[in-house]
Formats: sequence, C-alpha cells, structure tokens
Amino acid sequence: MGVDPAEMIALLREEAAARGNIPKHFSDEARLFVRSGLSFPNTGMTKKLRKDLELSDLTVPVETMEQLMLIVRRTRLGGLKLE
Amino acid sequence: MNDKYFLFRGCLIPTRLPFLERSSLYVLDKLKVDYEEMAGATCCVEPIGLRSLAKDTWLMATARMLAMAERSGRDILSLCNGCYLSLEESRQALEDTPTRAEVNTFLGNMGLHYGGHVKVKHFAEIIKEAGEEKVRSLTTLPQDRFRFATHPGCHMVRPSAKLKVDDSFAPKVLDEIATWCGSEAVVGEKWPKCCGGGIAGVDEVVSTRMLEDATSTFRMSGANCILTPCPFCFVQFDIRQKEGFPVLYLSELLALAFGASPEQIGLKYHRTKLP
Repeated sequence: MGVDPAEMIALLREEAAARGNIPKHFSDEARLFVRSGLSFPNTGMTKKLRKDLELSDLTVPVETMEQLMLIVRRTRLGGLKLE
Repeated sequence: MNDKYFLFRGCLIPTRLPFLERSSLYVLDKLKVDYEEMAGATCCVEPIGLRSLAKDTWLMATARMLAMAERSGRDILSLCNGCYLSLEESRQALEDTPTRAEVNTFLGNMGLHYGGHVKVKHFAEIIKEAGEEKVRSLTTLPQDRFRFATHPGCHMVRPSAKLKVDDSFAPKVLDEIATWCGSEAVVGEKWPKCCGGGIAGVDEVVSTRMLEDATSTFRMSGANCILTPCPFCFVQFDIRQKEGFPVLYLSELLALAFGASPEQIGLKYHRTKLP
C-alpha cells in the first residue's frame, strides 16, 4: 500500500549507481557532460546540419562551463571517477 | 510567471536533430510566442542516466537554470520530454523551502538566487494553450494525408502525479492538435507504451523489443504515421525501427500545416519515408 513501483525502480537505480553499478553508457555520458556541458556530442556533422538549416552554432560559453565545474566539484557527480 | 520564455532545446535536438529545432522555431514565430534562446544552458542532467548517478548534481544544475530564467523574467519552454521531466521535477523539489535555501546558499557563489517563481512548460502545452481557434486560423495547408498514431512518450505524462500536460491514461492532447491541423488521429494509446529509448544504450535487445511492441499497436490501427513530441521517441521510431513506419515530431506537423515547405524544415533528414 502506498508504494509507487516507478518510484521504487528509480530508487533502486540510484542505489545501484551509489554502489558503483553504473552502465558504461551512463558513465560515458557523465564524462561528456563534464567536458562539454552536453550529453550528446557536438560534432562536425552537427555543425554542418545546423549551417544547412540556418541555425546558429551550438556553443556552451566559458562562464557556463566554469559554473558547471563548480557544481560538479561541490556535488562530486555521484562520486564517479572522471579521469 | 508570464508569457515570455527561455527556449530550452536540450542536447539531442540541437546536436543530432537540428531540423526539429528549425520546425519548432518556425511554429513559435508563427504563433508569435515571445522566446529567447537560453544562453548559458547546459544539459538538463538527463533524467534517466545522469540523474541516477548524481541527484545532487541534477538538483544544483537545474536550479542554476531556473534561477537564470527567473532573473530574466522568463519561464522555460522545453522542446524535449526528458528535459521537461528534469526541469519540472526540480522546480517541484525546490518548492520545499529548506531545500531551496540550501541550494541558494551555493547558487549565491555564482551570483544567482532562485525564489521559486518559474514555470516549466512543454512544447505541446504551449500549443494546447494557444488553442484550437489559433491553430486552425494559422493552418493554411491542412495535413489531411496523415492518419496519426499519436505517441506522447513517457515524460510528457509520467509520472502522472508530477507531469500534467495531459492525462497519463488515454491522453488526448496530441489527437486534438492533429485534428486542428487537418489530420486524423486514428488511435490514441490508452496507456502509452515506452518506446525503449531510455535504455537503448544499456540493453539493445530489451530496447528493441519495447520498440517493436509499441510499433505493432500502431500498425494494427490503420495509421500511416506516428506523431510524437519527444525527440528520444523520434530517434527510436525514425532511426532504430526496422519496419519503416514513418514518424513526425509535433512541431513538424504544425509547421507543415502553417505553410512551411518540407525543404524549409529539413524533412529530407528523416530516415523513414513520409506518406
């Protein structure tokens, strides 16, 4: 009674991650996030597509990355080893 | 707060699917929505993988963006189901005064403060609020060639206690919008199935089975295209689906109905062939 199955799954996922059971896909994603501020790579193809569609270049400002680093250092990104 | 928005594009759309961004901008301009791109945005801290790794990082990073929006007097408009979930759940978590106070202590190091006054809206919500009359009045090219199987994707409607764009059981918003654009909605999922996108990088086999299960329902309905407002579902249906059942992202349908040419909004970048 009163147990939300989806909430339980999410909690189990968080517990697994806290114990180091992290799928490589997600740890790679975390590394990319720390490096670029994004969770998908900004590639040459991205640049080309955006130019073809007359969209501005995708950039994450230096100040934003500095703020993101402050957050990551403070919260430790779940203790993930990022080196 | 008001009707001015920071447009939150997320990561998947601007990097891999910028044609969905193009059609979204076209629609927002036609609707005369007051929006600005959110300079200084980062990833929303993707709510399935990244957030599981680091709940504190998620809360702090999303609070930073809510604070930026508040400082600019704008609400946040999300083009992505995942970003919508991440930002809206954070907004709700920060309704708790002690939590907000703790986060604000840290945000102060960046010259930011979040007072709890920003709304987070999903693109479909903006269209719903614009309303039938407005959408019909802008529809110059009714899209009557489409018989849609509508697929909201999980995180427009679930978790249902938190996300209120539509009902989680028998959702109807996409069906209504499709009709306003001159299309037919032949099936609305009573309990929309997950497309499997969230675990595509973790377990390909399970992800593919979930995708096939979701698509088989559509095939039986007599639909000739899928309509979704989620870029992750879009990728599953357009790129990973083997049957070639076509898909449109919500803003693409609206842009076509509002008079955009397929070239203008980059429909040529779809893998599946549209009817």
